[in-house]
Amino acid sequence: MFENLRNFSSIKSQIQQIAETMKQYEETPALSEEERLLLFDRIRFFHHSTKQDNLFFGAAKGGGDFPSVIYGNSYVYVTVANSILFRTDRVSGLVEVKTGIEPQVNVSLLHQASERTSFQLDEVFADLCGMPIAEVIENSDYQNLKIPDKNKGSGADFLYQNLIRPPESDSGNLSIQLRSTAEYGATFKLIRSAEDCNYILLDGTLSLPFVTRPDASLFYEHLKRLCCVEAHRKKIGLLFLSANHGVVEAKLLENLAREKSSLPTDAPVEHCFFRFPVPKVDEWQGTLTEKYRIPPAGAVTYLVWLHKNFPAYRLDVDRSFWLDFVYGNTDAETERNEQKLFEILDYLCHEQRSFGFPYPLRAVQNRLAMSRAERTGLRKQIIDRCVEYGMKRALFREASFES
Amino acid sequence: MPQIDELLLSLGERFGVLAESNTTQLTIIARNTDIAVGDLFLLPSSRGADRIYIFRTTQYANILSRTIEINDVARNKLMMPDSYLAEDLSDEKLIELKGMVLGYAEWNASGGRWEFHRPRRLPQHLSDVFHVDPKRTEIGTAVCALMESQLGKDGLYVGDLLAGEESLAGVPVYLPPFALSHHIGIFGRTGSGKSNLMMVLLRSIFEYNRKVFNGEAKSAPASIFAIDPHDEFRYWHLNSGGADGVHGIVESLSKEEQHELVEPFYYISAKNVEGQNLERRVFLSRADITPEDLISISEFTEQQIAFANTYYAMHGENWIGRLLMGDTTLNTGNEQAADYLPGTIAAVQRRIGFLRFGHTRLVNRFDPEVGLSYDSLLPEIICAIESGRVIIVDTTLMNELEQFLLTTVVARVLFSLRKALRSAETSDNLPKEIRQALGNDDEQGQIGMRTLADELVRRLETGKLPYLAGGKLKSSELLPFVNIVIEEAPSVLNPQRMKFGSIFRDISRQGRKFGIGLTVISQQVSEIDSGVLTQINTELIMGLGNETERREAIRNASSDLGGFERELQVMSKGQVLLTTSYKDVPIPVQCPEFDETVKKYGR
Repeated sequence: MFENLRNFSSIKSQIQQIAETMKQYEETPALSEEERLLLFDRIRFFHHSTKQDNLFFGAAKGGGDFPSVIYGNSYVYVTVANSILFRTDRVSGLVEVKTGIEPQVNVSLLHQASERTSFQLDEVFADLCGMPIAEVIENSDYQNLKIPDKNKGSGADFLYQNLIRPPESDSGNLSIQLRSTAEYGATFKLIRSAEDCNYILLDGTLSLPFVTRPDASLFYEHLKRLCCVEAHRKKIGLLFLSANHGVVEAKLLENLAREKSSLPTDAPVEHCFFRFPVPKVDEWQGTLTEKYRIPPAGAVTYLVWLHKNFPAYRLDVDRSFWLDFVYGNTDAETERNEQKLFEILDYLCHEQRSFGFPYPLRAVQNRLAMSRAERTGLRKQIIDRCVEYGMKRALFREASFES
Repeated sequence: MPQIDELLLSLGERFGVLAESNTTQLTIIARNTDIAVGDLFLLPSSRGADRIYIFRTTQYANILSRTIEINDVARNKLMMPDSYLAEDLSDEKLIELKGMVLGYAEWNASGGRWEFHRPRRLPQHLSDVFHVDPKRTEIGTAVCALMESQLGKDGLYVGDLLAGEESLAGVPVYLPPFALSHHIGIFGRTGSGKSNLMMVLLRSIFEYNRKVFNGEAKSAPASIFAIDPHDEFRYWHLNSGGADGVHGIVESLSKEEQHELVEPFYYISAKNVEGQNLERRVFLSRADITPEDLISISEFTEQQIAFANTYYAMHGENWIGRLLMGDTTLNTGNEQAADYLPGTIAAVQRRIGFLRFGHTRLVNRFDPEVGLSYDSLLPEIICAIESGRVIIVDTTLMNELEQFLLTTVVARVLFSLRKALRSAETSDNLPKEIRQALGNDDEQGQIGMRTLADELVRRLETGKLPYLAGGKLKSSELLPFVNIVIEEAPSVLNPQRMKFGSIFRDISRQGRKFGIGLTVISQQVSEIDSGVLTQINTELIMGLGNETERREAIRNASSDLGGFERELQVMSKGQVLLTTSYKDVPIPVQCPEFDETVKKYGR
């Protein structure tokens, strides 16, 4: 390897090429005046909110050690999840409320032999979400969003059989699946158990990676949509918030917002939002929609600037919930409802330890984070116990996607 | 008696952890909980032996756990007025408590009990800390067991142990009965609850005497001569729908108990109360009063004292009458008498002027030669006190001098009698000792208090003065623990007044030997003669008015009150800091409302 690295000119030119290509991607394409006006018109503003009463906010998060230890063809995965609930308070801003839900820790073994792994994985999924996976698939609306395969069918059973179940050694994919399943499992439990809950915040988007694939799906996609169904039924707003919106035009939208509120060129932007056109609701379309496939199926997507000096966040809301509780009889009513929603989000961002980011999400992230010492301690426990059963300590390997 | 395992189970959830510690102060880090200065905590420790330390918080502070300094939070709140600090269940907010170890209890296996020790040791590093929560009865039981020697098991109930702002139900604090004769100080500003404390103490004395009478307590009974300047103790709150006072207690006793514990009276007053059960009008005779009494209660110069003593030596029990009549000659027989200036004599006449006929309801004239015989309740009072009685003295219709005069006379006579009893070698010689103690020695031509002596000797012979048992001298250990209450104590116990001597100074110094003690009640500690203060063995310190008084209270306390300075500043009504030479540590006490005590325990 070191021999090839001496060929510096080749490496240099490759790096140069990559840099130029990335720059091209970053450059904001020119918009037509018509589209510019369209976007300008759809920038909306909301008020800074310092007071909210009688509201309850939840958040959930998944994580773990993927895998924790490896012994031959046996992979031990540790998955954790936690949820949290706050209520608004005049004195403290937010006060945590006991949910009665214990944090989840799942230590599971996935072993070579695909049948065994598949079976074991199903068990892990069921444990993480607290119900049989067939039941999740059956009750979720994911299959309604999926493009069906006319040739192969699309029933619940078909979907169950064609779930993507990575092999035990595919840590990357397993980490995503286990973490997400745990997170949405915790969310589902919170939705089910919380008597008073108005909104639940989650880190991420409502994207469903395999929804356009007629044959395959990921279990957590079903579970994610089941959470949306259940939350809608209980009139709880699931808010998916992501800092990684990937929308290059966000800068352009910021400029438009600046212009609309008569701010100087470099002034920071805050308290404003932009809604991507909602299919079958908004009559306008733009290059943004085509370029990014936003909003994802079953969702409504916003870009929101909550606080100055903080970047825009992407907010995804379940479409059904949005139609029932945000979308109004008139544009003005819809806008008022949206403003109310963002004012609530704004309020959540005023906690001192996480200014500019909703505190319930930060709190559950902090609560869940496994320290290096905890991971090491857990690994040691697993290895020690296995050694008691006669396995050789030297054969254990530690390699994980920490999450 | 619960042992350590049982006690540990009763402590409940861990409250915090011991952080820094040294022999003068402990620091504890605990969860964000509502606690108060003065709250008690228990720290089990097994370093050396199984011990449980008792810690009392004297100050505490809000702190934050880790992610952000509290000062930063405050700063952020100022600079970002809309920001807040959310309250998590997994607590960023902690509290840091500082305080002192009161002591520790160590299990004595051979004795089967917990022994309390002064705080010479420290709990081990990072000991768990448990809050003494007044709402949990199990922890009250634990504290009772650990601090039994400090709280007392029986005796005179004064209140319940105070933990912070609330008392621990089921953890009573007792004074031993002998504390009455070892001098007590009750110090508190107006409204601090002194009267209520006195009521509770009076009830406790009644209760104790009842136990002695029933054989439940194997000890001498107790007596108290309690001055009641506002006439509160008799009926207490009866007229406003509350509990009846001492009157109610007496009425609740059986006839037999009244005979043994109350007769001939429990209440004496300058008012006409004849006809009321066990209540009497109080009066003294001029024959009961000596110059020493008057010197104790009003200002006399050296010359005036000398004249009064000389005059008394000449006329004995008739001296007041003679002097008020204007007979100022000093006939001392063969010996040359000193000359006294007319001004001196007139000054003494003025000072006894309040005893003129018509000027006093308390003191009757005495002049047998003109048919004014001895008429005084004093012998009855003395006999009652020596039998174990609670006597309430209503002084509302007395002026200050009369009130103090009555107290002084009673105290002096009692003291003299106890000394006489100690001096007598046989029962036959007791009457002579009594007379001599009262200055009456006919063989030597000393009149002294002849008539009073006659009355007391007669009562000795009839048994009303209970100094004899089976014809033999009674041991002073069998005589009641006597306590004389001095209200508004600075008036008679200030250094200026005591310059030329005072019966109270004598009693404060020697009374303990003879089983007579004082209760000094005052709003100010600083005004009391230091000689008296140093003799007080039990202090009941209530809320005091200012820094000077608090400092004096701390300085004169019988236990080390270091660490209680803050406590003294924030004491509420009825809260008492008990310090005494026979307990190792100061005990914070909540004296209950007398009305509540009656409701809870009956009369």
